[in-house]
Amino acid sequence: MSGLAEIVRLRTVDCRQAGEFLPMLAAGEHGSAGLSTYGRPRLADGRPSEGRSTEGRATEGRATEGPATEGRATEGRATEGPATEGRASEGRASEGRSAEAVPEQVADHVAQCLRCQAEMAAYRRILRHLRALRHDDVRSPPGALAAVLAALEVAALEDHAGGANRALRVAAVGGITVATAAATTAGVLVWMSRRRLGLAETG
Amino acid sequence: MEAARSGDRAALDELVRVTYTGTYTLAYRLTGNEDDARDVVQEAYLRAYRGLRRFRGDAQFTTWLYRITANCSANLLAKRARTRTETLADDALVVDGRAEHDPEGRIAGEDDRARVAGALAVLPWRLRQVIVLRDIYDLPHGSIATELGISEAAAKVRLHRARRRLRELLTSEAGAGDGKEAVGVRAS
Repeated sequence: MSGLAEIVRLRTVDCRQAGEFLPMLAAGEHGSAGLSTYGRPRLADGRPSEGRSTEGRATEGRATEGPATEGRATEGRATEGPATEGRASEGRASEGRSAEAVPEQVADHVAQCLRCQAEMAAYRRILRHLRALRHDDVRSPPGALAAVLAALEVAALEDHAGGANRALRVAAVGGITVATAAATTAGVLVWMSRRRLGLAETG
Repeated sequence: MEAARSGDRAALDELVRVTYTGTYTLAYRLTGNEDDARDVVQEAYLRAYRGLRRFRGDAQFTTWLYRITANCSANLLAKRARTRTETLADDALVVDGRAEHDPEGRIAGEDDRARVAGALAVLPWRLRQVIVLRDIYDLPHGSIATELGISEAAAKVRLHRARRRLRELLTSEAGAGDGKEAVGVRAS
């Protein structure tokens, strides 16, 4: 009886572990970065190592277990179990590798476990319905489109008015500049002619 | 598109008319109600109008517009969440009081897609946003993260949680006692 209980316990644990990966597996994102740090451990020479990393710190090449947590795990630290938003230093604990992201034992378990397969099929069905929603348009309330077009009209008019104002400002500044230049030139000419006259009188 | 970019008002109006329903649908799915969807759509089109000259055309116009819509929606909902005194935790059970989502009030023969849409509508908005953008509109994780103002890793974790939550909602809805099995567990 205790043996049976042990089998049931192990099976439950496996299903619970695998359950964390089922949404990703169903979506075909089992290797996507960000959700899985549950990779097969590899040694420095690239050979897969045995077992899972359970140390507090994992160096490069070691496995971290479970989907990444959002906010908590720091680089190189093993995270175990499902993701928890708000706790992983983002983008670090999340670099899963495509084919290796889901551990072999989870894949094996899902391949054998009818319950997990049914659960994954359920996720797939939900995802299919979600994708189908893309083609289900929601009817907008009457007048909503007209309101948008009117808002755009106002924005265009404002732009136009802004453009006209800018043109006026440019013209005004240009006019003032020209007038100033003309006045300065006239002043210089008058001054020069008076000076010439003064020189002639003294001569 | 080119005419609208060069300032042709009629072309712009036509562009709005052609894309309006899709944009409104996205805004509605993101915000969950008509009034917010209207505000989001109007803001999105105004921003698109102002940024039209900068649109390089390396993505589809609708994709670009959807990203703007997602950003406007995220801003609106985040702003509201900041100002609201009563906050709603993502994990809190949300009870949908609308008649169309009331299990007792559901009309017979309602299809699974409608049930998924109903469950989606009652997801907390942070979870709903990622699932709408990724699983319905197929936006890349990077774009979703950018428009929601979070990291890509955070967007993926949020998506993971959202899918699980949606599944739970559908299962619990089915277990609520109308005799139907959940969408997820019913045999194909």
